[in-house]
Amino acid sequence: MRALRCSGVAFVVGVALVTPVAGQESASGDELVRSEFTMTITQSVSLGFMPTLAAGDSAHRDLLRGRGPEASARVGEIHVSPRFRSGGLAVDLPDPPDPRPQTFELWLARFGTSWALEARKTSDDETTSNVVWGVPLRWANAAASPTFTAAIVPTADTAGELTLSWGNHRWTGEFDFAEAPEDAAAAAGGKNAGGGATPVSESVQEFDADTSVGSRVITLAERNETAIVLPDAASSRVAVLYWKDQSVEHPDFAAIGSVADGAVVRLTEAAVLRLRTMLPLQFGDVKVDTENLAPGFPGSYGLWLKRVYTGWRLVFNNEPDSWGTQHDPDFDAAEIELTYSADGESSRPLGVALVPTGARTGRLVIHWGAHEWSASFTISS
Amino acid sequence: MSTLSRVMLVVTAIAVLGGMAPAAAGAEEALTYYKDVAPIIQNNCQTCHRSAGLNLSGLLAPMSFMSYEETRPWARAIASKVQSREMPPWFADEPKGVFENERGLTDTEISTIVDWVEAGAPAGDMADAPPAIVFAETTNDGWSHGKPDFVVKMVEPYVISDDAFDINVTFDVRIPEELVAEDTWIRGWELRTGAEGSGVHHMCAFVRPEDGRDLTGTDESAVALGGLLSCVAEGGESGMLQDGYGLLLAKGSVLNFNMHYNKEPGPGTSFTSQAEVGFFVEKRPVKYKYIADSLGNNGFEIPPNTSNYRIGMARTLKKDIRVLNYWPHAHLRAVAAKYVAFYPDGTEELLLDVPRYDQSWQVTYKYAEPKFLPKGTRIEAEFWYDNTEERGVRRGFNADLAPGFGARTVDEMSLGFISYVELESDSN
Repeated sequence: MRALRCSGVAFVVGVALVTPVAGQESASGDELVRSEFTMTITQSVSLGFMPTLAAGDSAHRDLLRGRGPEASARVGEIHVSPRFRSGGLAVDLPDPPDPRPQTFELWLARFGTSWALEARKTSDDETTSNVVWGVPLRWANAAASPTFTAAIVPTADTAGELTLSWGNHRWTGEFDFAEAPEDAAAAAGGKNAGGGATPVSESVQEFDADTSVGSRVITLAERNETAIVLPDAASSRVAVLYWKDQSVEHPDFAAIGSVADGAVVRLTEAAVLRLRTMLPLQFGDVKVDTENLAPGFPGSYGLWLKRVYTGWRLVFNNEPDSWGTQHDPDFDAAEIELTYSADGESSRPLGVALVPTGARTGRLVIHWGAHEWSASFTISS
Repeated sequence: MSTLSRVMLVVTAIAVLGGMAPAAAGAEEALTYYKDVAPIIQNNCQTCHRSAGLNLSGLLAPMSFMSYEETRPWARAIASKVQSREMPPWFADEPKGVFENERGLTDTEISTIVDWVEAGAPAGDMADAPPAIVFAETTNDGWSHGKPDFVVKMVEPYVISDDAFDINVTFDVRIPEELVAEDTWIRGWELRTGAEGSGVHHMCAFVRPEDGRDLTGTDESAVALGGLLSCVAEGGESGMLQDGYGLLLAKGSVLNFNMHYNKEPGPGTSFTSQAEVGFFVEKRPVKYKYIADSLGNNGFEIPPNTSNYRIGMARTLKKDIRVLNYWPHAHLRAVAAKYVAFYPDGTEELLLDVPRYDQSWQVTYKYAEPKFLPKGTRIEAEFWYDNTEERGVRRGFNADLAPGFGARTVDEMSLGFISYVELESDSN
């Protein structure tokens, strides 16, 4: 058993008795709402939570009201790929890392007045759960959230915050992805550099082969993805792809302050943000539907921030693969009003978060430096 | 009017009148292959329609037009293709007159071919034939730009088996010191697939220093364009750089062969390929370093059963450059491509408009005089795609799929290749 101390919170990596909590006996992956952040094909984190965990439930009273020296509750699960780090602690994965993502139970734990998020593995006999890793959480008083929600909010191209809300509590914890170790063979010039007789790579494919994984590798080499996934994951993914490396040093960022009334924020070195939704979204009175480009195909839209005299609006455009300078209003499909603030952390690169706020509700947040634009939505059936 | 002009006018008038008179008597009989058609074929077709050299073992053109006997069977097809202006292949509407490899026949040349075919495509008198063009490869072991100073070849032939449909494979070959003993300027290179038949979709060659890989961690090395020399595909060409321009080949460099083979599987379809690159050393001073680059937007997803789908990409120049060429590259669904320059002063200029993009003709648009673009210019490229069943049936893809970036011919690409040199100063 080893003890890890971080930010004043001691974590005992060891064994805890499994104490089922009311309302979560069926906290299986099939019933979780997930918040996801994908950086590359091998670097992703998915936070799943039970949207029915009520803050008023007596089973959670000790935890949420600070009764007793410590308490914990299972709140969902977390699915992480190798090189995920949280709270400064690398996920305890084999070395070299197992390339397969790993799934852990997610527990919210209180030690006195300190809070932590724990990843646990249940033993084979299901009598104990082993704490695999844990991270300290920052706590803040917050507006009431009657049920538990969890979200991943990117704060950099390779980092973000795990954000939890429950009752009048709000917790945040940081995460990032460690750099991939340099491949020694590659650094030396390739596995067979100069050999020549053996292929460096060889891909043999049939006419009807599914090459979507390869395409996704390419996509994620240039973009990050944030997503909400409802329990029926195969048909309920809502995702936004946005270009990496759009820092606040970029002239496009500086130009935001001078965007003219009726004009859009331009990205000269990035494609437009792209929304891909398998279910219709309702932003107030505005419905953003699926099948806008082809029958049976998910909704696919370019997202443009548009300056208007009274503030900002978000344009959903039917050319989702335009470059960030190629907005064509003839293809605009819908427009919604955005809430705007300039109170955010000033060094954030361009990022997008889809923050679940309930079982079928969420908030779209676009941020760049201190600028933050957001809008609430409902995921329709 | 000068005496010479008057003489020319008279000569022209006689020629016109003389030409008109027999027309009434039956001009069709007067048109023959050797006298009228062979000069047009020589000047406009034979650079590709031959068995070797630039034709890259048939990669560009599947048949040879080097003689009457080779040309006659294709006479009707030739007439049809030139009349529709599908041949000679040139797909850019704008700009005109700036690309050294711009192709096209005049109306008179088209009429000559069509009338000759309608007259039965007679051979005529061989004595009327123009002297045969002697292509460089006939005296240079098949190399079309002269004999290279050195050749780097895949170590052994690669076998594309009968049952193979689509293969992307890359090989690294370190350039031995006996060939490149020190950093060397290169003025040109020629790629040869070393394959018989038409099963090569493309061949790309990259060079990179021995101490680091430019290829990214994907198995699609065409995406990692660091060190790209060039590619040849259907309709593609190699070439020599202009005077004063050169590619710096570092001692110990590794040459990467990226080969894409695509064919219908079946008995008897196997073949081998042992690609090679011939290098031409520049011994004169080099002022400008050649850079092959590309604009890209590779995270696209083309919806199923849609037409006129646009994918855009752009780059803002951090230095003054001179553009040498453009190579818009996409696959079966692409129908149009365009490059536009947006200058720092707010003006814009159409650099290249290809309204009839054809994947079968991977044309590199080479400036006769390199094009100056100042620092701060944003180059935007756009491709349009037709992912409909109608096109899918003709081109051989499944329009019910939503393709993203992929190496197979039935996947898609959206790459705005551009080769240029960077200028040290602001002078143009």
